[in-house]
Amino acid sequence: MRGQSGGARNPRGSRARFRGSRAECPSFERFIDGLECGDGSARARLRLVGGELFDNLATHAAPLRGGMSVRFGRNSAGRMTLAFTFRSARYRAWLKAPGPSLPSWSPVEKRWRGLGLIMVRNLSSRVEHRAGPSGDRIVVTF
Amino acid sequence: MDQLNISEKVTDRGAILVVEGPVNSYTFTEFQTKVYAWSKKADLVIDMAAVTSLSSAGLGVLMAAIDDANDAGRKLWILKPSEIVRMAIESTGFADSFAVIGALREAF
Repeated sequence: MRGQSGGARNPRGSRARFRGSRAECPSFERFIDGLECGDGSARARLRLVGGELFDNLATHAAPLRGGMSVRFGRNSAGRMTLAFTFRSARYRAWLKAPGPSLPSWSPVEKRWRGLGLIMVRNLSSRVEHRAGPSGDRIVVTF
Repeated sequence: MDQLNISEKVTDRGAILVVEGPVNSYTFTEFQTKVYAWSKKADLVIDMAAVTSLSSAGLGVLMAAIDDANDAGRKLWILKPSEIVRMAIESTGFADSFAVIGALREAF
């Protein structure tokens, strides 16, 4: 991970770059732990939601050309935002594929599916997926 | 804390797993192995006071282990979940499925 504080240009935000592999989970968590985000509850939300999205991208979007950029900030209303920027055709295809709308047990895979999606939905106020020729972007507002 | 540490204690009434650190996609295999192994053969308390993160994969392990324990006539309790564990459990809408306790004496 290469981390970078926003410094004078963006005193309320910070960003980091990752290759986009699951082995970077500890680095991503250290990035979240280093953010100036307020109380422990806010950090817990960032860890849970950010961790789910990071894992989804590492699992369903890799290999990421140019890696993944993660940026923390606050919007004009003062709400925390977490933005993931990357480039992945595989992710765009995965996004269009039908997935479970509710958590359910998969007897074939012997695991619960859809839990991460509902965690992200319930621990954030808005999740936007934007895909375009200039790249892909997920922005979470808390 | 980057590493997951799981220690096991066996008593005459059941087993206790003390979990410390993050349960994420990078570490959850060890968590899964130990929780599944114990949930089928003993009443189990999982101490999650020092868990620093809990991914959906980890939550899924807990939910499956609760079902396994029920099928085997066993019980599974979550002891003193940290704030992040409590938040993760409540976010799924399945909080009623988890037997959360504040002290070991409530289980054994």
